[in-house]
Amino acid sequence: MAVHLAYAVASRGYKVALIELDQSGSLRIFAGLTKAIPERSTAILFQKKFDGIYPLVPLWSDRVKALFAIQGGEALEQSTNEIYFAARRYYILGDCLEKYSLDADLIVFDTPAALEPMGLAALAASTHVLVPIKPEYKDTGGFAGLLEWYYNKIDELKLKPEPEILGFVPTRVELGKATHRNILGIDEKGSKRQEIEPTQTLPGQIEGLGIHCFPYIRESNYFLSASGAGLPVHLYRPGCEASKSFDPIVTKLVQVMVEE
Amino acid sequence: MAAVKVGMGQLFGDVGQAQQLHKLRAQLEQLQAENERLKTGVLDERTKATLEQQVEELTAQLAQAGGEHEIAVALIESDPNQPRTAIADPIVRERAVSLQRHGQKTPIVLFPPQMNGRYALFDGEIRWRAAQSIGWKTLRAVIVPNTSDEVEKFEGQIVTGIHSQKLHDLDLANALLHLIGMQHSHLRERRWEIPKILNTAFRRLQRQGKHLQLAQIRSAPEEEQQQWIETVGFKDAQEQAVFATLLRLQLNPITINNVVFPLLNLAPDLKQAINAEGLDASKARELNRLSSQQLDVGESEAMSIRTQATQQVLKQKHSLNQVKELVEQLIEKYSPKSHSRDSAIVKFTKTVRQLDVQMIANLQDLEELEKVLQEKLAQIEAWRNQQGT
Repeated sequence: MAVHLAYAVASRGYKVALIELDQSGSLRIFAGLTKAIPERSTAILFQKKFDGIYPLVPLWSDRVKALFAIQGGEALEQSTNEIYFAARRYYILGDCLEKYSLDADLIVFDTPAALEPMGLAALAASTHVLVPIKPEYKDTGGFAGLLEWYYNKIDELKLKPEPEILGFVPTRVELGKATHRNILGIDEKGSKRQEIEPTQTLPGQIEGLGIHCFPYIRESNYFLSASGAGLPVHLYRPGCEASKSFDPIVTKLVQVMVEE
Repeated sequence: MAAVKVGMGQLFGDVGQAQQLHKLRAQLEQLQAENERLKTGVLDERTKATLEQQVEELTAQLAQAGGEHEIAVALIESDPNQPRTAIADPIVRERAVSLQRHGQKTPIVLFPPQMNGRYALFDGEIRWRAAQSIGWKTLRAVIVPNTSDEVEKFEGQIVTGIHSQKLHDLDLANALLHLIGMQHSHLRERRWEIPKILNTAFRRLQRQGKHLQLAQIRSAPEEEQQQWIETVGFKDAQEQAVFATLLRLQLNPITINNVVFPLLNLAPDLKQAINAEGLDASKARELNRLSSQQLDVGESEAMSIRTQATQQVLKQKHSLNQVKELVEQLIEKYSPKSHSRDSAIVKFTKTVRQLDVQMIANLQDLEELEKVLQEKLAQIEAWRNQQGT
């Protein structure tokens, strides 16, 4: 998701930096990279000795001018300790980016599902939060938990200005699955179902909270194949429906960047 | 709780509140900061006026959203999550003087009432304490609107209460009336009749021998419960509604009918003892026998006897048996004639009391005994309900 999105924004001519905060280091596969050594991974940003030289690697530089990434991976395990022992704790990522500015129009943090501590570090460094969610009960419950977490943590960390929720986007939607249709309140063709109360749907609940809901992104084999090929879906299958489904988010991001 | 379906409202139950809280906190924080600036006097008159207007707007907004209410000071409780636990007495005294002189300027902010009917404070701890210290009976308050699905949330609270066994039977009884009223609008205005509706329906089941199915249907899947409710022969939608709610919560209607709902008929002083001092339900039921009718005395004297007995039970930590004996003695003392005892019953009661259940080796015997006792209990309860005791 983060990879496809970062590429889509970069392809419109913006400078984009993708920072992977996930120990699994899956960016390596999605972008066809080799494994990063700890000194060349996101882990370095959490270390006191960091000198401001970001270990950026260019992605698909033959196609886009300015898309860079910092890889996560196993070394981040150590960073967890560094966060807990640092005096400024969750703020150190934000502090680092403030001290050594990163030349980018958009910085995308790719966080793992577990919110502690990387999610908090990212939250404290963010201006906006975008939440992809698979429309299933477990994930929906997790999402509700995330929102509650978000409101509590903003107050707890006294984040000023507050990171704003850009919106949520249902991803990996399969219209053939009844659960997905019921949770989103749509039929097999993707049209809205009238008999379902909006409050009984995920978008209804979210919009009820005043949070924007982006059009859903359907599960596509292209995503799976693209990741196998180490390409964003936009390059793997240009113009396909899957790649176009990112457009509303890209438009919104561009709007935010331009405004600021 | 397999019988309770996952609803979107349930999943998002707490998010709305978290969001609301966040917004309010932010607004309050902003106002506090402005207030500080006000105190330091760097603001010109115009800014001050704007600020005051903002304060009024926020309160008005809250007042409009939740409506402004006069809430009894006694019904308000401190927010356990209130980060500020120590508030110095002088501040409270200062505020008390201000309340007496100028009255209450802005409403305090409360959460909607909990199951016990009490309101937790969101904002206004000092005003609340000050009001207590000067003997005010009520405070003006706005209720922070709860955007979550109230019914599901409430049901969730009951389920949690039942599971954690923290819910007193009397609270459960009140909560059930409330929940059934919420879930079935035709019963909302008539929820005090729910115990009677349940009792009538239950008696009918019993006459038809169908009440024994309840133990099993209680833990059946929801669809099966629904089917049972539709086909077992209830008289009307009200009876169906009451059973539907109880079974969905996996509660046994027999217990609710015989043990829980009767608590609603307890004397007010006993309810008070339950709420304030945690008197056991079973002991309260015994003490409730100390009625003016049974004692053959006037209402106020009966209440005084009952209150004394209750205090004795609480202070000396009487066992249930001791309570029973005490009640017998008191009835004997005030109204000996109404109490000529049937020696056969006395003997039987003694036998039952001495029976060691663990010594019954044959499971069939035990089940038979249980069945007979349950039926007898139900008959006794029915008789009592008729008598109105």
